[in-house]
Amino acid sequence: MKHAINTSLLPTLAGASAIFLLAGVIHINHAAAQSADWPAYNAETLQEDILPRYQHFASEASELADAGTALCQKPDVQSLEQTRAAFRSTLNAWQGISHIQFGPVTYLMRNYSIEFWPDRKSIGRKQLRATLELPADTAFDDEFFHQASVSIKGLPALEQLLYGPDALSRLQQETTYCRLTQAISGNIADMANGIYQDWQKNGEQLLAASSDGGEDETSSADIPAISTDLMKSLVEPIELIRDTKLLAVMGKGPDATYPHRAENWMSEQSLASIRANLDAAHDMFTGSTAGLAQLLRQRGEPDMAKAIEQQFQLIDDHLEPLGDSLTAALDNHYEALKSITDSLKVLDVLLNKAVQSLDIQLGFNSRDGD
Amino acid sequence: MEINRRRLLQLMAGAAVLTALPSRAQPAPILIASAADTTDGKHWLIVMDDLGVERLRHLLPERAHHVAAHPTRPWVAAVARRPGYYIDVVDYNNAQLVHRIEPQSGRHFYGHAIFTPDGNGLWATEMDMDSGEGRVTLRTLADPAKPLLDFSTAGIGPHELLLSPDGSTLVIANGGILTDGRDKLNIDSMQPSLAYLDVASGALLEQRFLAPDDHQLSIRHMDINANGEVIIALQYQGEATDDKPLVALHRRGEALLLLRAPADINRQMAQYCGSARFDSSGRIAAVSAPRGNLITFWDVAENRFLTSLRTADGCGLAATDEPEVFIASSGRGRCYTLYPRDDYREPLLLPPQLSSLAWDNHMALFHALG
Repeated sequence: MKHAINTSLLPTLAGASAIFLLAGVIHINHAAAQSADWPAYNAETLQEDILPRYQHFASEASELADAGTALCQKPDVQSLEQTRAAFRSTLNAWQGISHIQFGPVTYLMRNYSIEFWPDRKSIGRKQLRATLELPADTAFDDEFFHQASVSIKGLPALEQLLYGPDALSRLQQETTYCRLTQAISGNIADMANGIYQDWQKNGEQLLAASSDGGEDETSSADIPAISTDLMKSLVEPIELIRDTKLLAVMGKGPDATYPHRAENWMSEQSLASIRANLDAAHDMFTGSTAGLAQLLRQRGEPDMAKAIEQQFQLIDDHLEPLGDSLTAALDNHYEALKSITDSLKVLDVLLNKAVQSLDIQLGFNSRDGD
Repeated sequence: MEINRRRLLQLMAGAAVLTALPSRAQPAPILIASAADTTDGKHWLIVMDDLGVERLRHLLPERAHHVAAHPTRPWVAAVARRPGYYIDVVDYNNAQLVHRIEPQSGRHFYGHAIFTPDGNGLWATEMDMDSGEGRVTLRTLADPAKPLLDFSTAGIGPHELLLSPDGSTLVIANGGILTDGRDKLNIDSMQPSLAYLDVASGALLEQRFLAPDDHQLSIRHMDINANGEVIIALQYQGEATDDKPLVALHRRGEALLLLRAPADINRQMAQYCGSARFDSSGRIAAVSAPRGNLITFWDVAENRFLTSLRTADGCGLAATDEPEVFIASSGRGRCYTLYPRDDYREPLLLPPQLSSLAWDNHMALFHALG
């Protein structure tokens, strides 16, 4: 509020704004989104969605770090399997919160560091190979991770180490291989914990300040920018799942697929990850007291809420029998996958319509540009 | 402070805001034109005045990109987004489509076109689809079907184009990216350039490339001031984690000068700048970074970053009559007056039918013509 003009004319602007809104109601007969309680929506999403999901991710990652340490102390089949199980749980927890791409996860590029994907040029594989060739006394400490490529800081690099060919014998014979496995597990735990702590500490503040920079009281579009961000987190991943996680892998037909483009193909968790993404979106849609579904019902759109609910359910029903591995499904259930991508398109359209009916302008998606 | 003061005076007059009838006795109103999407996915050319009164809503066949105001007639041109197949020239006083210009067979438009200073012609960047070569064409508005002039741009992927202050030279941003539809085919070998062509002969007068290490910084959007200095908004096509400068400045006869924002700002800009405009003095440039929700400001007299303002999904920019004051539009339906020196932005009061639009990447601001 350093601007002199603003200070002197603020009351005038506020008054004009009120007249304007009133005029809008009379002339346009448009109750707009004033009926939705956006602060309540934001607060509930924080308490019931964001915080518990980051807490879950942090706690799974902490177990992963423990498992990684135990693995290096005694690298045998059993400890490798335990670490792989901890990896899958951590991955699953991450996939359940990866739709939030604003706030603390973006600090220090933690979003890229936890999961650098898609990695179209196999940077992760090259970086990992180079790192494993470093001198045996290289310390994989904070300083190392501070300097390291994001491609070897998180889940994809750990996946390669745990599921790569000869993983067990390398863990047993190469100290660097084992120490790096342990160090990346620890680094994931540190990042997960850091994000959770940051949200705990600053969550309320983040919701209060809009990502738009605040000061928007005079705008007629009376929806907090953070609410728009949250809606975007619900809607945008559906297209990403369809286009990048499925269609890009499915190629031009059952005989022309690209299984290695799939996310988490080494751990055969591709479909499990997609299910975790969709469960998270479904939860965010349903909410317990102020989800998008409830906002739609309040807005007199119960049929739309029901249609979306059914579409989530339909996709879930069709995904469930396909198991966790996309590679296997490409061979055996290509048509079923195709139909799931069609259903995702329908879901995407429905969600966009729903958001539209609440007068929320999501803007162009974050990959848009020209 | 032309726009702002006039608007504030009207605001203080209370109800005048609601009607804002244009009066013949008053100076020509200021109009803002931009392409925009409604939430139902339709594409429009919108013209409104700075009070938020809508003057034109013209349905477009596909999404548009650049909008240009005719210098002597009440016309605006909306150029289809690449690969584009129309340029609509529309009269904003009577909403009539004056021309729908289509590319010749084997060509498509690249999203930008400008009127000649006398208003008789229209320059547009195009792609020759057989050769992949960039072209720039001049059509007369009297007979726009077939280009009168058709030059090579000396590069691939020509995007925004400008005329030098004396009108003798075309300035072309060759983005460097070979495209098939919207697929990018040559990211590893792309060679963006800034090309200066003689308007009469098409002769290449000067061409500037970036250093080999920076060849993935696509040169796409720019503006020119009265001194002929060109400010350039870059888009980085390399790895998501690289940290490249995102703005460049060019003076005839010199190398391209890369300008870097402070480290944290540069990272926030998310490797992508969407639009560049000089202010009315020609000294201060605004460069938007919509993916980073930032608009940055640069002092070209001192070759340096000045400051930035947060604006969610803010991309479209235009200079106002007042030095150092800009208008910006966002994908989320907002428009702002920006006062970078005062670290202040003021939302324009827009009625719901305008604030629910996703404003597309570029805007034009001009005085209404009768």
